[in-house]
Amino acid sequence: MGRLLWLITVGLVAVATHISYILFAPGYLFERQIYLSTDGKPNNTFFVLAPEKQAALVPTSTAQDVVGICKYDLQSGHLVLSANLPKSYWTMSIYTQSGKQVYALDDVQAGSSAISIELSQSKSFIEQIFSAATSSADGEDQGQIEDLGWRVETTERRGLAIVWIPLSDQLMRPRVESIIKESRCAAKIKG
Amino acid sequence: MGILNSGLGHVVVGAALGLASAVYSLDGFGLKAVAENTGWQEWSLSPGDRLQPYGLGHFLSSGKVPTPSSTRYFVRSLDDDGNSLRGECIVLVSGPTIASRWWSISAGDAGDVTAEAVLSAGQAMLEPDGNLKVGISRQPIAGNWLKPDTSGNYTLVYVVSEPDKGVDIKLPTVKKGGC
Repeated sequence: MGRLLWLITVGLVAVATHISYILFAPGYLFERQIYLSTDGKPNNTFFVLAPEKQAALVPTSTAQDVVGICKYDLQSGHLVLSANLPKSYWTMSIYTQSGKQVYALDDVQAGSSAISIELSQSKSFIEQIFSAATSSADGEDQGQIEDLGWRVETTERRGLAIVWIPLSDQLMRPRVESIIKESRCAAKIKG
Repeated sequence: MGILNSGLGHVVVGAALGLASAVYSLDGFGLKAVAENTGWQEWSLSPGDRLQPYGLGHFLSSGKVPTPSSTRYFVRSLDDDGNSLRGECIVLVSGPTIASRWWSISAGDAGDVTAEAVLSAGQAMLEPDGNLKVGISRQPIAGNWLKPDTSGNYTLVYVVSEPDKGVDIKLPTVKKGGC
């Protein structure tokens, strides 16, 4: 009876450890790898990845494509990503730190080669209840972003916005890179 | 020996088993076969899929961003007869291309391939009937040619970005041509 109890204990601990690792460890490993892949570049800045690093981070890309990223941190409020893109096929994906894709956009959906996305963290249930009570009184935040293109809410404070531009010829990279380098990713200036 | 018989010992053994099985399962537990007996596999990343945590964990733990929902990411490490794909052999990939915004085929470790080991939609020459034929070999081959980075085992990755809606996904065959 005692041995059976301990076998059950071993089994339960094994299952709990297995589930915990699968759910939580990959996110921590990913965050560490992102830091290494981006050479410790600061948050909330847009930059183009080196060819040898982009394919290691974005598995759909190859070394001849162009990949631009912004590591965002919404601690100090909303973020505006203004992307300057070529008139060719591109995709933009926004992920949370735990790898959940919260937004996707491509050239056809955007219909423009210059786009602007405002990124904010979604409110928790408690915050929603309180903000519903206060915003109905002062109307704050309403209609302040109408001049911007898209608005995205993410469930986590930190994550990655990735622009991938596949290219058929490596020689096109310098020209496309010079276009996308004009993109910006910065905290929203409160007006 | 005494500690293994203690309560703490059982907890340690359980934790070690759970950890080992988790690390092992991230390597392939989230892979599912595509269609019937094509040899191609795809990582489970759909939110409703019960294997999704393993598929997602596979990408994240290796420092890779999970593939976007609009992209299909097919992988295989065996040919149609079940042999490992090896760089020292000639491998022929043939079949129809999938109508999509973009696609690429690469031979190597995913995310770590040279330009010679990648063929994309903008580079490929299609047959008159619209089919794609690619030769994979360390030595040059006429037509579409991929040079794997290694003479050892490699993985074939077929990325299809934004396939046309309602299109029938037919994946190419992979045959060994000789070593």
